[in-house]
Amino acid sequence: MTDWKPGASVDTLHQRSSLLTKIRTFFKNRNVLEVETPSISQYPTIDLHLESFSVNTNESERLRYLITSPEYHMKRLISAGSGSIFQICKAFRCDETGRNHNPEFTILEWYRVGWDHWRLMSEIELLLDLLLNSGPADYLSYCDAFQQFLDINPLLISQEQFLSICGKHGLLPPACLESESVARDEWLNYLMGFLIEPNLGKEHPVFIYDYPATQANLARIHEDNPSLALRFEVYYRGIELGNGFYELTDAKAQEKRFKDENQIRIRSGKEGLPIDNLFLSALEKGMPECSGVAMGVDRIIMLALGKTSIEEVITFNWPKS
Amino acid sequence: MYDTSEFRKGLKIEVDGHPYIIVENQFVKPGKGQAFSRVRLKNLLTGSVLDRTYKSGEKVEKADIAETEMQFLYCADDAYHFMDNSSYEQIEIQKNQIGDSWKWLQENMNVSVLVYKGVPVSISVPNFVELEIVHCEPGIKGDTATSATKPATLSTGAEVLVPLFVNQNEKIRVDTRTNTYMERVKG
Repeated sequence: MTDWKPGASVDTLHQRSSLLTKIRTFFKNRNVLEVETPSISQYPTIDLHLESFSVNTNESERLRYLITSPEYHMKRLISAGSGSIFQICKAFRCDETGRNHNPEFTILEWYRVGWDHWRLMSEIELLLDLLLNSGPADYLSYCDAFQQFLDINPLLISQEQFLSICGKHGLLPPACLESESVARDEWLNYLMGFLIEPNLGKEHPVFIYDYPATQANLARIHEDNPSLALRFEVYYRGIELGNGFYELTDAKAQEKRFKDENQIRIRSGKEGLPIDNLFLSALEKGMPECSGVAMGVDRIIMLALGKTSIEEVITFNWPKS
Repeated sequence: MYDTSEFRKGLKIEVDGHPYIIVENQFVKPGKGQAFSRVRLKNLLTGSVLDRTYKSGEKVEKADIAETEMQFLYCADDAYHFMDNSSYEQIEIQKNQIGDSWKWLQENMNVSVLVYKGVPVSISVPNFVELEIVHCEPGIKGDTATSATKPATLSTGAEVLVPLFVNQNEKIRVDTRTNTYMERVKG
Protein backbone atom coordinates (compact mmCIF):
# COMPACT_ATOMS: atom_id res chain seq x y z
CA MET A 1 0.00 0.00 0.00
CA THR A 2 1.45 3.35 -0.97
CA ASP A 3 1.38 6.34 1.35
CA TRP A 4 -1.94 8.04 0.55
CA LYS A 5 -2.13 10.06 3.74
CA PRO A 6 -1.81 13.88 3.79
CA GLY A 7 1.38 15.57 4.98
CA ALA A 8 -0.60 17.99 7.17
CA SER A 9 -2.32 16.66 10.29
CA VAL A 10 -6.02 17.33 10.88
CA ASP A 11 -5.01 19.71 13.66
CA THR A 12 -2.82 21.60 11.16
CA LEU A 13 -5.71 21.81 8.70
CA HIS A 14 -7.80 23.57 11.36
CA GLN A 15 -5.00 25.99 12.20
CA ARG A 16 -4.33 26.64 8.52
CA SER A 17 -7.98 27.41 7.91
CA SER A 18 -8.15 29.89 10.79
CA LEU A 19 -4.97 31.66 9.59
CA LEU A 20 -6.49 32.03 6.12
CA THR A 21 -9.62 33.50 7.73
CA LYS A 22 -7.43 35.96 9.66
CA ILE A 23 -5.82 37.11 6.40
CA ARG A 24 -9.20 37.58 4.69
CA THR A 25 -10.57 39.50 7.69
CA PHE A 26 -7.46 41.72 7.73
CA PHE A 27 -8.15 42.83 4.16
CA LYS A 28 -11.92 43.05 4.59
CA ASN A 29 -11.41 45.43 7.53
CA ARG A 30 -9.19 47.55 5.29
CA ASN A 31 -11.60 47.61 2.36
CA VAL A 32 -9.31 45.67 0.04
CA LEU A 33 -11.37 43.70 -2.46
CA GLU A 34 -10.85 39.96 -2.78
CA VAL A 35 -10.56 38.87 -6.43
CA GLU A 36 -10.00 35.71 -8.43
CA THR A 37 -8.00 35.58 -11.67
CA PRO A 38 -7.13 32.67 -14.02
CA SER A 39 -4.69 29.91 -13.12
CA ILE A 40 -4.14 29.13 -16.79
CA SER A 41 -2.84 31.99 -18.87
CA GLN A 42 -2.15 32.49 -22.58
CA TYR A 43 1.26 33.84 -21.64
CA PRO A 44 4.12 32.47 -19.57
CA THR A 45 6.34 34.39 -17.19
CA ILE A 46 9.36 35.87 -18.90
CA ASP A 47 11.81 35.60 -16.10
CA LEU A 48 15.21 34.00 -16.51
CA HIS A 49 14.86 31.93 -13.35
CA LEU A 50 11.15 31.07 -13.29
CA GLU A 51 9.79 28.24 -15.42
CA SER A 52 6.06 28.11 -16.13
CA PHE A 53 4.34 24.75 -16.55
CA SER A 54 2.87 24.58 -20.03
CA VAL A 55 -0.62 23.21 -20.65
CA ASN A 56 -1.80 21.50 -23.81
CA THR A 57 -5.33 22.71 -24.55
CA ASN A 58 -6.22 20.86 -27.78
CA GLU A 59 -7.87 24.05 -29.02
CA SER A 60 -4.95 25.30 -31.12
CA GLU A 61 -1.25 24.79 -31.73
CA ARG A 62 -0.46 27.24 -28.98
CA LEU A 63 0.30 26.19 -25.46
CA ARG A 64 -1.15 27.84 -22.41
CA TYR A 65 0.69 28.22 -19.12
CA LEU A 66 0.01 27.81 -15.40
CA ILE A 67 0.63 31.12 -13.65
CA THR A 68 3.81 31.60 -11.61
CA SER A 69 1.94 34.42 -9.86
CA PRO A 70 -1.35 36.26 -10.57
CA GLU A 71 0.54 39.52 -11.15
CA TYR A 72 -0.30 40.29 -14.79
CA HIS A 73 -3.98 39.52 -14.40
CA MET A 74 -4.28 41.51 -11.19
CA LYS A 75 -2.57 44.51 -12.77
CA ARG A 76 -5.11 44.32 -15.60
CA LEU A 77 -7.88 44.54 -12.99
CA ILE A 78 -6.21 47.59 -11.43
CA SER A 79 -5.91 49.19 -14.88
CA ALA A 80 -9.64 48.53 -15.30
CA GLY A 81 -10.35 50.52 -12.14
CA SER A 82 -10.70 47.84 -9.46
CA GLY A 83 -8.89 49.85 -6.78
CA SER A 84 -6.89 47.98 -4.12
CA ILE A 85 -7.27 44.20 -4.43
CA PHE A 86 -5.99 40.99 -2.88
CA GLN A 87 -6.04 37.35 -3.87
CA ILE A 88 -5.20 34.03 -2.26
CA CYS A 89 -4.59 31.47 -4.99
CA LYS A 90 -2.35 28.69 -6.23
CA ALA A 91 0.79 29.51 -8.21
CA PHE A 92 2.96 27.02 -10.06
CA ARG A 93 6.71 26.94 -10.66
CA CYS A 94 8.54 24.07 -12.36
CA ASP A 95 11.32 22.21 -10.56
CA GLU A 96 11.08 24.01 -7.25
CA THR A 97 11.01 21.35 -4.55
CA GLY A 98 12.57 21.57 -1.11
CA ARG A 99 12.00 22.29 2.54
CA ASN A 100 10.58 25.72 1.66
CA HIS A 101 9.41 24.97 -1.87
CA ASN A 102 6.63 23.03 -3.57
CA PRO A 103 6.00 23.39 -7.33
CA GLU A 104 2.34 24.15 -6.56
CA PHE A 105 1.97 26.59 -3.68
CA THR A 106 -0.40 29.12 -2.18
CA ILE A 107 0.33 32.76 -2.83
CA LEU A 108 -1.14 35.85 -1.19
CA GLU A 109 -0.81 38.77 -3.56
CA TRP A 110 -2.13 42.27 -3.01
CA TYR A 111 -1.94 45.71 -4.56
CA ARG A 112 -2.47 49.07 -2.95
CA VAL A 113 -3.54 51.73 -5.41
CA GLY A 114 -1.98 55.15 -4.71
CA TRP A 115 0.52 53.73 -2.21
CA ASP A 116 4.31 53.68 -2.49
CA HIS A 117 6.27 50.62 -1.37
CA TRP A 118 7.13 52.11 2.03
CA ARG A 119 3.51 52.35 2.99
CA LEU A 120 2.94 48.83 1.70
CA MET A 121 5.86 47.51 3.76
CA SER A 122 4.32 48.92 6.94
CA GLU A 123 1.05 47.15 6.12
CA ILE A 124 2.95 43.87 5.59
CA GLU A 125 4.58 44.43 8.97
CA LEU A 126 1.12 44.61 10.58
CA LEU A 127 -0.14 41.50 8.79
CA LEU A 128 2.95 39.50 9.80
CA ASP A 129 2.59 40.63 13.39
CA LEU A 130 -1.05 39.54 13.34
CA LEU A 131 -0.19 36.08 11.97
CA LEU A 132 3.23 35.46 13.54
CA ASN A 133 3.39 37.78 16.51
CA SER A 134 6.64 38.95 14.99
CA GLY A 135 6.75 42.51 16.31
CA PRO A 136 8.11 45.59 14.55
CA ALA A 137 10.27 44.93 11.48
CA ASP A 138 13.80 46.03 10.64
CA TYR A 139 14.71 47.73 7.38
CA LEU A 140 18.02 47.24 5.56
CA SER A 141 18.98 48.22 2.03
CA TYR A 142 20.32 45.54 -0.32
CA CYS A 143 23.71 47.27 -0.45
CA ASP A 144 23.88 47.61 3.33
CA ALA A 145 23.03 43.92 3.73
CA PHE A 146 26.01 42.93 1.58
CA GLN A 147 28.19 45.46 3.39
CA GLN A 148 27.08 44.20 6.80
CA PHE A 149 27.31 40.46 6.17
CA LEU A 150 30.05 40.19 3.54
CA ASP A 151 31.83 43.55 3.67
CA ILE A 152 31.47 44.28 -0.04
CA ASN A 153 29.64 46.69 -2.29
CA PRO A 154 27.37 44.38 -4.31
CA LEU A 155 27.15 46.79 -7.24
CA LEU A 156 30.94 46.64 -7.70
CA ILE A 157 31.58 42.96 -6.95
CA SER A 158 34.45 41.41 -8.91
CA GLN A 159 35.09 37.79 -9.78
CA GLU A 160 38.05 37.83 -7.42
CA GLN A 161 35.91 39.08 -4.53
CA PHE A 162 33.23 36.50 -5.28
CA LEU A 163 35.67 33.60 -5.22
CA SER A 164 37.45 34.88 -2.12
CA ILE A 165 34.17 35.22 -0.18
CA CYS A 166 33.17 31.69 -1.22
CA GLY A 167 36.57 30.38 -0.16
CA LYS A 168 36.38 32.13 3.20
CA HIS A 169 32.98 30.54 3.91
CA GLY A 170 33.90 27.07 2.67
CA LEU A 171 31.52 27.28 -0.29
CA LEU A 172 32.36 25.56 -3.55
CA PRO A 173 30.37 27.38 -6.24
CA PRO A 174 29.28 25.39 -9.29
CA ALA A 175 31.70 25.69 -12.20
CA CYS A 176 29.23 27.83 -14.17
CA LEU A 177 29.66 30.65 -11.65
CA GLU A 178 33.44 30.67 -11.68
CA SER A 179 33.91 32.25 -15.09
CA GLU A 180 34.59 35.95 -15.37
CA SER A 181 31.84 36.43 -17.92
CA VAL A 182 29.08 35.45 -15.48
CA ALA A 183 26.57 38.22 -14.89
CA ARG A 184 27.12 40.01 -11.59
CA ASP A 185 23.58 39.14 -10.49
CA GLU A 186 24.35 35.42 -10.61
CA TRP A 187 27.16 35.92 -8.08
CA LEU A 188 24.99 38.18 -5.93
CA ASN A 189 22.10 35.71 -5.91
CA TYR A 190 24.43 32.91 -4.91
CA LEU A 191 25.91 34.90 -2.02
CA MET A 192 22.46 36.13 -1.01
CA GLY A 193 21.04 32.61 -0.95
CA PHE A 194 23.84 30.90 0.92
CA LEU A 195 25.45 33.54 3.11
CA ILE A 196 22.94 36.33 3.75
CA GLU A 197 19.38 34.94 3.66
CA PRO A 198 19.91 32.34 6.41
CA ASN A 199 20.89 35.19 8.76
CA LEU A 200 18.03 37.55 7.98
CA GLY A 201 15.19 38.32 10.36
CA LYS A 202 16.32 36.13 13.25
CA GLU A 203 14.36 38.15 15.83
CA HIS A 204 11.98 40.32 13.80
CA PRO A 205 11.03 40.38 10.14
CA VAL A 206 13.46 42.35 8.00
CA PHE A 207 12.74 44.23 4.79
CA ILE A 208 15.57 44.31 2.26
CA TYR A 209 14.93 47.22 -0.13
CA ASP A 210 16.52 48.98 -3.13
CA TYR A 211 17.55 45.93 -5.17
CA PRO A 212 19.87 46.28 -8.16
CA ALA A 213 17.80 47.47 -11.12
CA THR A 214 18.92 44.37 -13.02
CA GLN A 215 17.01 42.19 -10.52
CA ALA A 216 13.66 43.95 -10.65
CA ASN A 217 11.86 43.55 -13.91
CA LEU A 218 8.52 45.01 -12.87
CA ALA A 219 9.63 47.71 -10.43
CA ARG A 220 10.26 51.42 -10.85
CA ILE A 221 13.82 52.67 -11.00
CA HIS A 222 15.12 54.66 -8.03
CA GLU A 223 14.82 58.39 -8.71
CA ASP A 224 18.25 59.27 -7.33
CA ASN A 225 20.16 56.18 -8.39
CA PRO A 226 19.36 54.46 -11.71
CA SER A 227 21.32 51.36 -10.74
CA LEU A 228 18.71 50.60 -8.06
CA ALA A 229 15.04 49.68 -8.29
CA LEU A 230 12.15 50.05 -5.86
CA ARG A 231 11.90 46.36 -5.14
CA PHE A 232 11.88 44.83 -1.67
CA GLU A 233 11.84 41.40 -0.08
CA VAL A 234 10.73 40.47 3.41
CA TYR A 235 12.48 37.77 5.43
CA TYR A 236 11.71 36.18 8.75
CA ARG A 237 13.79 33.54 10.53
CA GLY A 238 16.03 33.16 7.50
CA ILE A 239 13.13 32.47 5.15
CA GLU A 240 12.00 34.66 2.27
CA LEU A 241 8.30 35.41 2.80
CA GLY A 242 7.51 37.97 0.14
CA ASN A 243 8.62 40.08 -2.76
CA GLY A 244 7.18 43.46 -3.68
CA PHE A 245 7.56 46.48 -5.93
CA TYR A 246 6.59 50.06 -6.31
CA GLU A 247 5.13 49.01 -9.63
CA LEU A 248 6.41 50.12 -13.00
CA THR A 249 3.52 51.75 -14.91
CA ASP A 250 5.41 52.77 -18.06
CA ALA A 251 4.24 50.43 -20.85
CA LYS A 252 7.15 51.20 -23.18
CA ALA A 253 9.74 50.61 -20.45
CA GLN A 254 7.98 47.38 -19.44
CA GLU A 255 7.95 46.09 -23.00
CA LYS A 256 11.66 46.83 -23.38
CA ARG A 257 12.41 44.94 -20.14
CA PHE A 258 10.49 41.90 -21.34
CA LYS A 259 12.38 41.95 -24.64
CA ASP A 260 15.72 42.34 -22.87
CA GLU A 261 14.86 39.48 -20.49
CA ASN A 262 13.96 37.31 -23.48
CA GLN A 263 17.39 38.06 -24.98
CA ILE A 264 19.04 37.05 -21.70
CA ARG A 265 17.00 33.84 -21.71
CA ILE A 266 18.12 33.03 -25.24
CA ARG A 267 21.76 33.83 -24.46
CA SER A 268 21.68 31.42 -21.54
CA GLY A 269 20.36 28.64 -23.75
CA LYS A 270 16.64 28.87 -22.91
CA GLU A 271 13.86 29.53 -25.37
CA GLY A 272 12.43 32.98 -26.02
CA LEU A 273 8.80 33.27 -24.86
CA PRO A 274 5.72 35.14 -26.12
CA ILE A 275 5.24 38.50 -24.42
CA ASP A 276 1.92 39.18 -22.66
CA ASN A 277 0.35 41.82 -24.90
CA LEU A 278 -2.84 41.91 -22.84
CA PHE A 279 -0.82 43.05 -19.83
CA LEU A 280 1.13 45.58 -21.90
CA SER A 281 -2.11 46.94 -23.40
CA ALA A 282 -3.47 47.48 -19.90
CA LEU A 283 -0.34 49.42 -18.96
CA GLU A 284 -0.65 51.46 -22.13
CA LYS A 285 -4.22 52.37 -21.29
CA GLY A 286 -2.83 53.53 -17.98
CA MET A 287 -2.38 51.63 -14.73
CA PRO A 288 -2.83 53.78 -11.61
CA GLU A 289 0.26 54.18 -9.45
CA CYS A 290 0.39 51.30 -6.99
CA SER A 291 2.57 49.00 -4.96
CA GLY A 292 2.15 45.26 -4.76
CA VAL A 293 3.55 42.22 -2.99
CA ALA A 294 3.37 38.44 -3.35
CA MET A 295 3.80 36.33 -0.22
CA GLY A 296 4.25 32.62 0.33
CA VAL A 297 1.26 31.54 2.42
CA ASP A 298 2.55 28.02 3.10
CA ARG A 299 5.78 29.44 4.52
CA ILE A 300 3.92 31.89 6.73
CA ILE A 301 1.72 29.07 8.05
CA MET A 302 4.80 26.88 8.54
CA LEU A 303 6.40 29.58 10.72
CA ALA A 304 3.14 30.33 12.55
CA LEU A 305 2.77 26.67 13.53
CA GLY A 306 6.46 26.18 14.34
CA LYS A 307 6.94 23.57 11.62
CA THR A 308 10.24 23.13 9.80
CA SER A 309 9.05 22.10 6.34
CA ILE A 310 6.15 23.29 4.20
CA GLU A 311 5.17 19.70 3.46
CA GLU A 312 3.83 19.63 7.03
CA VAL A 313 1.29 22.37 6.25
CA ILE A 314 0.31 21.28 2.72
CA THR A 315 -2.32 18.56 2.35
CA PHE A 316 -0.60 16.69 -0.47
CA ASN A 317 2.78 18.01 -1.59
CA TRP A 318 4.40 17.26 -4.96
CA PRO A 319 5.41 13.64 -4.26
CA LYS A 320 1.96 12.90 -2.77
CA SER A 321 -0.19 14.89 -5.20
CA MET B 1 23.70 10.77 -15.09
CA TYR B 2 21.48 12.23 -12.38
CA ASP B 3 19.77 15.60 -12.62
CA THR B 4 19.83 17.76 -9.46
CA SER B 5 16.05 17.31 -9.22
CA GLU B 6 16.71 13.63 -8.49
CA PHE B 7 18.99 14.45 -5.55
CA ARG B 8 17.91 12.85 -2.29
CA LYS B 9 19.43 11.34 0.79
CA GLY B 10 21.17 8.07 -0.01
CA LEU B 11 21.83 8.74 -3.69
CA LYS B 12 25.33 7.66 -4.76
CA ILE B 13 27.14 10.06 -7.10
CA GLU B 14 30.65 10.42 -8.52
CA VAL B 15 32.43 13.72 -7.75
CA ASP B 16 35.98 14.53 -8.86
CA GLY B 17 36.61 10.84 -9.51
CA HIS B 18 35.42 9.62 -6.09
CA PRO B 19 32.21 7.85 -5.06
CA TYR B 20 30.01 9.78 -2.63
CA ILE B 21 26.66 9.26 -0.96
CA ILE B 22 24.32 12.22 -0.41
CA VAL B 23 23.67 12.61 3.32
CA GLU B 24 21.84 15.94 3.14
CA ASN B 25 20.18 17.83 0.29
CA GLN B 26 18.89 21.39 0.42
CA PHE B 27 17.12 23.38 -2.30
CA VAL B 28 18.14 27.05 -2.25
CA LYS B 29 16.50 29.71 -4.41
CA PRO B 30 17.37 33.23 -3.44
CA GLY B 31 14.62 35.71 -4.34
CA LYS B 32 14.20 35.77 -8.07
CA GLY B 33 17.60 34.22 -8.69
CA GLN B 34 19.00 30.96 -10.00
CA ALA B 35 18.11 27.89 -7.93
CA PHE B 36 20.82 25.69 -6.42
CA SER B 37 21.12 22.40 -4.61
CA ARG B 38 23.44 22.31 -1.67
CA VAL B 39 24.46 18.79 -0.79
CA ARG B 40 26.53 17.25 1.95
CA LEU B 41 28.41 14.27 0.58
CA LYS B 42 30.18 11.40 2.32
CA ASN B 43 33.03 9.70 0.53
CA LEU B 44 32.11 6.02 0.36
CA LEU B 45 35.76 4.93 0.46
CA THR B 46 37.28 7.24 3.06
CA GLY B 47 34.23 8.47 4.99
CA SER B 48 35.34 12.10 4.62
CA VAL B 49 32.58 14.69 4.25
CA LEU B 50 32.30 17.34 1.55
CA ASP B 51 29.82 20.17 0.90
CA ARG B 52 29.01 21.04 -2.71
CA THR B 53 26.59 23.38 -4.44
CA TYR B 54 25.08 22.63 -7.84
CA LYS B 55 23.09 24.78 -10.20
CA SER B 56 19.56 23.40 -10.56
CA GLY B 57 19.38 21.19 -13.61
CA GLU B 58 23.10 20.42 -13.52
CA LYS B 59 23.95 16.78 -14.23
CA VAL B 60 26.26 14.58 -12.18
CA GLU B 61 27.65 11.10 -12.78
CA LYS B 62 26.19 8.09 -11.02
CA ALA B 63 28.75 6.40 -8.81
CA ASP B 64 29.51 2.92 -10.13
CA ILE B 65 29.35 1.43 -6.67
CA ALA B 66 27.23 -1.30 -5.18
CA GLU B 67 27.02 -3.52 -2.13
CA THR B 68 26.98 -7.25 -2.75
CA GLU B 69 26.22 -10.00 -0.29
CA MET B 70 29.15 -12.46 -0.13
CA GLN B 71 30.24 -15.40 1.97
CA PHE B 72 33.65 -15.48 3.63
CA LEU B 73 35.54 -18.62 2.57
CA TYR B 74 39.08 -18.54 3.93
CA CYS B 75 42.16 -16.40 4.43
CA ALA B 76 45.59 -17.22 3.01
CA ASP B 77 48.70 -15.02 3.02
CA ASP B 78 46.80 -11.86 4.00
CA ALA B 79 44.33 -12.35 1.15
CA TYR B 80 40.70 -12.87 2.17
CA HIS B 81 38.61 -14.98 -0.16
CA PHE B 82 34.87 -14.47 -0.63
CA MET B 83 32.14 -15.95 -2.77
CA ASP B 84 29.38 -13.86 -4.36
CA ASN B 85 26.13 -15.45 -3.09
CA SER B 86 24.25 -14.88 -6.33
CA SER B 87 26.88 -15.43 -9.03
CA TYR B 88 29.04 -17.92 -7.02
CA GLU B 89 32.04 -16.03 -8.35
CA GLN B 90 35.05 -15.97 -6.01
CA ILE B 91 37.03 -12.84 -5.25
CA GLU B 92 39.88 -11.91 -2.96
CA ILE B 93 40.42 -8.77 -0.90
CA GLN B 94 43.74 -7.74 0.67
CA LYS B 95 43.95 -7.45 4.44
CA ASN B 96 44.68 -3.70 4.37
CA GLN B 97 41.31 -3.02 2.67
CA ILE B 98 39.38 -4.93 5.27
CA GLY B 99 40.37 -2.72 8.19
CA ASP B 100 39.36 -4.10 11.58
CA SER B 101 36.74 -6.42 10.11
CA TRP B 102 39.17 -9.36 10.02
CA LYS B 103 38.58 -9.73 13.76
CA TRP B 104 35.04 -10.98 13.22
CA LEU B 105 35.33 -13.09 10.07
CA GLN B 106 34.34 -16.73 10.45
CA GLU B 107 34.07 -19.26 7.70
CA ASN B 108 30.69 -19.18 5.90
CA MET B 109 29.78 -15.80 7.43
CA ASN B 110 27.77 -13.50 5.15
CA VAL B 111 29.24 -10.02 4.76
CA SER B 112 28.44 -7.04 2.59
CA VAL B 113 31.19 -6.21 0.08
CA LEU B 114 31.43 -2.74 -1.49
CA VAL B 115 32.36 -2.99 -5.16
CA TYR B 116 33.56 0.21 -6.86
CA LYS B 117 34.03 0.18 -10.64
CA GLY B 118 34.15 -3.62 -10.55
CA VAL B 119 36.81 -3.77 -7.80
CA PRO B 120 35.92 -4.86 -4.25
CA VAL B 121 37.12 -2.08 -1.96
CA SER B 122 35.78 -2.77 1.52
CA ILE B 123 33.54 -5.06 3.55
CA SER B 124 31.10 -4.63 6.37
CA VAL B 125 30.42 -7.42 8.82
CA PRO B 126 27.10 -7.99 10.66
CA ASN B 127 26.52 -5.70 13.67
CA PHE B 128 26.38 -8.74 15.98
CA VAL B 129 28.44 -11.93 15.77
CA GLU B 130 28.65 -14.99 18.00
CA LEU B 131 32.13 -16.32 18.75
CA GLU B 132 33.75 -18.83 21.10
CA ILE B 133 36.19 -17.73 23.79
CA VAL B 134 39.46 -19.62 23.28
CA HIS B 135 41.27 -18.07 26.19
CA CYS B 136 40.45 -16.17 29.38
CA GLU B 137 41.07 -16.40 33.15
CA PRO B 138 38.68 -18.84 34.90
CA GLY B 139 35.25 -17.50 35.80
CA ILE B 140 34.28 -16.42 39.28
CA LYS B 141 31.09 -18.28 40.06
CA GLY B 142 28.12 -16.24 41.13
CA ASP B 143 29.76 -12.89 40.41
CA THR B 144 27.11 -11.34 38.17
CA ALA B 145 26.71 -8.09 40.08
CA THR B 146 30.02 -6.27 39.74
CA SER B 147 30.95 -4.46 36.59
CA ALA B 148 34.52 -5.66 36.68
CA THR B 149 35.81 -7.20 33.45
CA LYS B 150 38.71 -9.32 32.15
CA PRO B 151 40.20 -9.71 28.68
CA ALA B 152 39.13 -12.69 26.54
CA THR B 153 40.55 -13.96 23.26
CA LEU B 154 38.00 -15.20 20.74
CA SER B 155 38.35 -17.92 18.12
CA THR B 156 39.08 -15.37 15.40
CA GLY B 157 41.87 -13.72 17.40
CA ALA B 158 39.76 -10.74 18.46
CA GLU B 159 40.12 -9.51 22.03
CA VAL B 160 37.16 -8.18 24.00
CA LEU B 161 36.49 -7.39 27.63
CA VAL B 162 34.04 -9.80 29.27
CA PRO B 163 32.43 -9.94 32.77
CA LEU B 164 34.24 -12.01 35.38
CA PHE B 165 31.65 -14.85 35.41
CA VAL B 166 32.23 -15.79 31.76
CA ASN B 167 34.30 -18.91 31.09
CA GLN B 168 36.71 -20.18 28.47
CA ASN B 169 35.03 -22.28 25.69
CA GLU B 170 31.76 -20.43 26.16
CA LYS B 171 30.15 -18.67 23.21
CA ILE B 172 29.38 -14.95 23.46
CA ARG B 173 27.60 -12.33 21.36
CA VAL B 174 29.66 -9.25 20.47
CA ASP B 175 28.68 -5.86 18.98
CA THR B 176 31.19 -5.43 16.16
CA ARG B 177 30.62 -1.67 15.90
CA THR B 178 31.73 -0.96 19.44
CA ASN B 179 33.88 -4.02 20.09
CA THR B 180 31.81 -4.87 23.19
CA TYR B 181 30.48 -7.99 24.89
CA MET B 182 26.69 -8.30 24.84
CA GLU B 183 25.77 -11.66 26.44
CA ARG B 184 26.54 -15.34 26.72
CA VAL B 185 25.02 -17.61 24.09
CA LYS B 186 23.75 -21.05 25.11
CA GLY B 187 24.85 -24.09 23.16
